[in-house]
Amino acid sequence: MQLDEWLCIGIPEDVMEQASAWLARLDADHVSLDEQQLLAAWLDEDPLHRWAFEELSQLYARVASLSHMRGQIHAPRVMIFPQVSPPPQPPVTQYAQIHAPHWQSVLALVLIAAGLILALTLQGPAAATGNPGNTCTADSPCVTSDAAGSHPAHHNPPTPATEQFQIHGE
Amino acid sequence: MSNGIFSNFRFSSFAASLLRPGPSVEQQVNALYGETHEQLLASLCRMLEPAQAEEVLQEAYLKLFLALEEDRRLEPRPFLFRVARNLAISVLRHQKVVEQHGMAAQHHPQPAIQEDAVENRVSRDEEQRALLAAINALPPKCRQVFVMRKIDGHSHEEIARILDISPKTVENHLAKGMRLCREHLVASTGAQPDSAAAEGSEEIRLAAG
Repeated sequence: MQLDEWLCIGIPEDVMEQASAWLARLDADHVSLDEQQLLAAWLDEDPLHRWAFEELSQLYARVASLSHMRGQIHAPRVMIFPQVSPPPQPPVTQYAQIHAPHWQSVLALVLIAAGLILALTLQGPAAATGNPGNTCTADSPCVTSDAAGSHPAHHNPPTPATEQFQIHGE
Repeated sequence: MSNGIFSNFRFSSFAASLLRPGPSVEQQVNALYGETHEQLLASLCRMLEPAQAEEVLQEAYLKLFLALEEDRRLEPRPFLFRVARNLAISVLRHQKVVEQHGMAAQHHPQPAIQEDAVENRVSRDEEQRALLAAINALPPKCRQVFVMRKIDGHSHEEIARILDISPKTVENHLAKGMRLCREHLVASTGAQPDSAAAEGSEEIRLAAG
């Protein structure tokens, strides 16, 4: 009984087309006053219009009652993320984020290698002659005072590396 | 004091009978008849045979008359339109049963009653199952839009953005979805009066035997 009352039985196809278009229009977020007045006029125009619109509204409203059966509906669920609108943008930033550290690490490795080579060529003989048999510590770095004075900026960062090298060297 | 209340009551009922004299229901229905008859008949004629349409309409005015006699606060016009539509639906439903079962059903008034009883038993579960089947039968794109709107509760704008279509296309998919769902439901419930009538005639046979 209930079903029959909202299935628009016997309503002509052209009226169904109009009723469904109106209902979909009314379902949108923004419906102007003009459109609402047009709809009111259309509903009053013919009893068939009102019957079709009322019954189809019933059907449309009842569809929402299926939400608990979501798993049985064959339509993928789409999640909305805030920055969905510019899709090319996120990959670019992601790329930059992923590759920036890579670049930096490569650069850091190169610098470390350069530091090691420098330390090996400059400090190797100095350490060997200056304090033989002694391991260097952070408190008493293995750089001679004149070397530290002449190249403070270059020698300070690779100090731990040179220490390690010398430890392993012995 | 009680005298005052009593006279008050007498006065109000007297005033009421003056303001709403007996013939006014008739006048009201007659006036509405003049306003609506032609329009309603034209509409009903798009669903029914002219003779049936006239019959349905006369019954609707009669029902309105009786209902107004019962309750004067009734809104006559919406009531009349609803009654006319419901009567048309039951005629159409009966026609369908007759079409499916030949003349046998026409002779017996009982199948219609039986059918009503059976359809009343159509539970909410069955209704939902029928709706679910109708949605799953929609074309994929239409179904996606329809479900995103009605089940997942997205706005038209959101759907348009996610699926990269215009809001007007969203509307068109929704409108089409409603129509197709309705057609599917009509087709699938078309099988129900079938079983209902079969059950009904079986009971009649049992009763006869």
